[in-house]
Amino acid sequence: MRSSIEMDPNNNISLFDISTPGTLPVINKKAVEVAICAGLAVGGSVESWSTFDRKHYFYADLPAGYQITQKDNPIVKGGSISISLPTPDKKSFREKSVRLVQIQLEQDSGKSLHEHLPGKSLIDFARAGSPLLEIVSQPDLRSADETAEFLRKLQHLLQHIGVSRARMEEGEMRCDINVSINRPGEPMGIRSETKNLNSIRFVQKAIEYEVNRQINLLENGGKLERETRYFNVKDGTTSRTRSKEDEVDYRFLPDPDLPPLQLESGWVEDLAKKIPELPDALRKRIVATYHLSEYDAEQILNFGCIDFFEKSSVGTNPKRVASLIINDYAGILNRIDRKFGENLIVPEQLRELAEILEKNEIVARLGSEILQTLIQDRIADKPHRMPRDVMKALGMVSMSSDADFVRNLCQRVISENSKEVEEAKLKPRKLQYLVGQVLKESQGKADPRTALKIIK
Amino acid sequence: KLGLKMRVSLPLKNLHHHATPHRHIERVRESIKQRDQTKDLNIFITAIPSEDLMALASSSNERSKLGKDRRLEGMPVAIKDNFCTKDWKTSCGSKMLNEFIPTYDATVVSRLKDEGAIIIGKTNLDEFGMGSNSTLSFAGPVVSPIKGDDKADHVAGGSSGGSAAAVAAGIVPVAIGSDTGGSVRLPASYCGVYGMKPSYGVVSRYGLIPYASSLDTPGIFSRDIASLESVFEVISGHDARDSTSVSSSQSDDLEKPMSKMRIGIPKEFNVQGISAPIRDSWQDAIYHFHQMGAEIVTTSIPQTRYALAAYYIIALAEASSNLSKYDGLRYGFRQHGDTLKEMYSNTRSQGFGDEVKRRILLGNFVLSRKSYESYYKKSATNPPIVGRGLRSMLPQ
Repeated sequence: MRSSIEMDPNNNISLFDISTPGTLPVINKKAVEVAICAGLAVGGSVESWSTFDRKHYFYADLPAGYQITQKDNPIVKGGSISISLPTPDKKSFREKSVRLVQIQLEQDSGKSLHEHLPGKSLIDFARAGSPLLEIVSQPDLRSADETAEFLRKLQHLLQHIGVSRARMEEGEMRCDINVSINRPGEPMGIRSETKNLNSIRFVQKAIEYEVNRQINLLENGGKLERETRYFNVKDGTTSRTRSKEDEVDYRFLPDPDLPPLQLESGWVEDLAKKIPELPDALRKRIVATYHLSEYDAEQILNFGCIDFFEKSSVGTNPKRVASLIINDYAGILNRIDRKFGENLIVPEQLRELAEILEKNEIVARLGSEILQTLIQDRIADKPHRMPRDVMKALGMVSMSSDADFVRNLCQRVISENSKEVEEAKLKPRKLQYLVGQVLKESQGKADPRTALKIIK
Repeated sequence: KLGLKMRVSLPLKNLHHHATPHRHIERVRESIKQRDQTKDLNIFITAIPSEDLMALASSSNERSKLGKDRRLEGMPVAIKDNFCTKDWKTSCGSKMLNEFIPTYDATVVSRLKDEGAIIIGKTNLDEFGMGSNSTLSFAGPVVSPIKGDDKADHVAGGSSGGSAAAVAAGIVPVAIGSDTGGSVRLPASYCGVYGMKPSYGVVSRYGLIPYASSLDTPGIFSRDIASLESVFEVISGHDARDSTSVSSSQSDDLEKPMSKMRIGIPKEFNVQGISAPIRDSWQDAIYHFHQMGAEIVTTSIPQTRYALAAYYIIALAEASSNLSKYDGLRYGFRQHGDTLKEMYSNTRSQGFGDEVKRRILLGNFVLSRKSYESYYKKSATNPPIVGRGLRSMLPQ
């Protein structure tokens, strides 16, 4: 199921896709597999028996004059996605569960382009007939922010289980929103539907615009109607396309070309085993096992490098590893525009680096430098090196926190710099000079923190 | 009343499938001759040119010489013009598809060709299969080759009238039609030839331009049982491209010996109005099965009286849906309009005949939100009830 951006117009079309007379639909097994996995990932009920319906309307990009969808008996019922929203004071999070109505399999239509040629419309059938998953949520969302968070969570989930990259700008995920307003305690108001939203930002804008429009209308004594609206990218407003009077009667018909879909017993169980650990469970496990903060666990999850993190943490301090990933590794990758998935660092390397830092052999800043060198090695296709090799090559000296060694140095420095010692008693900042001297004496070997402690 | 006193008896020609080689050229030449001589019956919408046919006959010759006969080598056949034939116009008897040339063969067609059958032409039919006389075609009506005492032209029956007539007129030994509500059985009866409607799903619908998808069934006309049987064997069986075609395991049930068969005869099927000769034939057949060792049992399906009404509602609903695709945009007849909507309306108003439009309107009506519960929903539970009645009599 490739995104439409990748396809040339009117290529990759089968006879069936343009509804050539006499051709028939055949269920795409991979699409069913994807639907099952998505259903399992949201904790929905995967229905072993589901049916297909035809939804009729006339439009140039709908070749058969109907879309094959699942209205009455979809393949997945129920399910939910939990979202975390920062509390108003931004100090912690609250969890909210957004329920789903269903997930259904259906066909995509072609694409209409009205702007390319004056007075004409162009139709591209490249994506016509491609399988789609339609995910329908219950009206549990209460704000544009919640909706944005929900969409991000959904994208993340779908990416995580390998179902889709779900990138809205690439056309891999599209969103229609239904918005209504009501006073607290009163029943839900009349909703409007807005289509043509292909980014999370636009979804938020559309919701905000709709809420304001509806409130203004009601406060000015107007009445709301069920209607379909269109989002205007240029100014973030919505405009009506169809009113209730023009509401389409889809004349649903159970599709006679497709018998009910019956899932082989055991197939769903097999797929359930293959699904990777889901993000929420994963995050909880990481926090519990490695004692990372929720925030750090979430970061590593978002980077998609849980496995890398876990392997690197074997035998060393996981918090140190997490810090290296989040603070150093991520920063470097971002600057040079590369990805975690490229595996520019392997677990053995990170583990050794973590150990080095745990033992205070070098200052933290140098850790980042070593990482950068290792990454550049990989990019330049140079042979694999370990952090200690790099330290040697860069002339970094392994510092010692060995108390005796440092103490001797400190004592020497104190005895040789009595004037500065006196000054330091009055101005603690002067201690840095003494530490500097210790470093100089030890040719960088002494760990400044240990030295500082001892000098004090 | 037609005052038909004729008895049409056709010779039970037993065609040899491994005939001597020159026979293929002879047969095809004979076929072409008959086709030419019966032009006024308006049986064919498209007659495949003689040169093409003779070339195919020669190939069959060569194969026979080498002993490489396929199962239907050199057999002339006629195909109803709602089955897609690659590179040959497939019009469904409609202005809408009068210039439609498919780029693929229907499964039935490719299976016939693969076994060496030679397609003589595409036969005339009621537009999109909607009719029972073959008089509602953009190409004009079919005239039956059977002449009564009154010397007037008779209808060939429909909607597969052209295919029935092609066999009755001796043009081909076998022809293919489609049966949705009797469209093979009825014209077979009118033309006095054998007509077989297999059980739904036994023959693939891939490439059969649909009228009512849950009812359409490709069927066979013939003058002799041996040919009919050979053709049935070739065209039947599971097709992965048709999700409603039966699985291989299901068709194995047909191999049971007669002595192990229990045949149920629902009493409601013995309707008032069946003519005496027909009832006699029916009784003869039942007796024949009994003689062969089958157990005959009288049963009852009370819902039978609703079946016809349910059929019309379901067939028309599906027809209105299946014909939504004819809008002039991607293929077929197009009439200009200033807007998309206008183009669609003009194209569909002018491209479809009156009967087709009538059925589309009724189909839209029964599926409309206001009427769905009263008509379609009620009918859609009728087949299962009738089916349930049938199924309750079958061993599980």
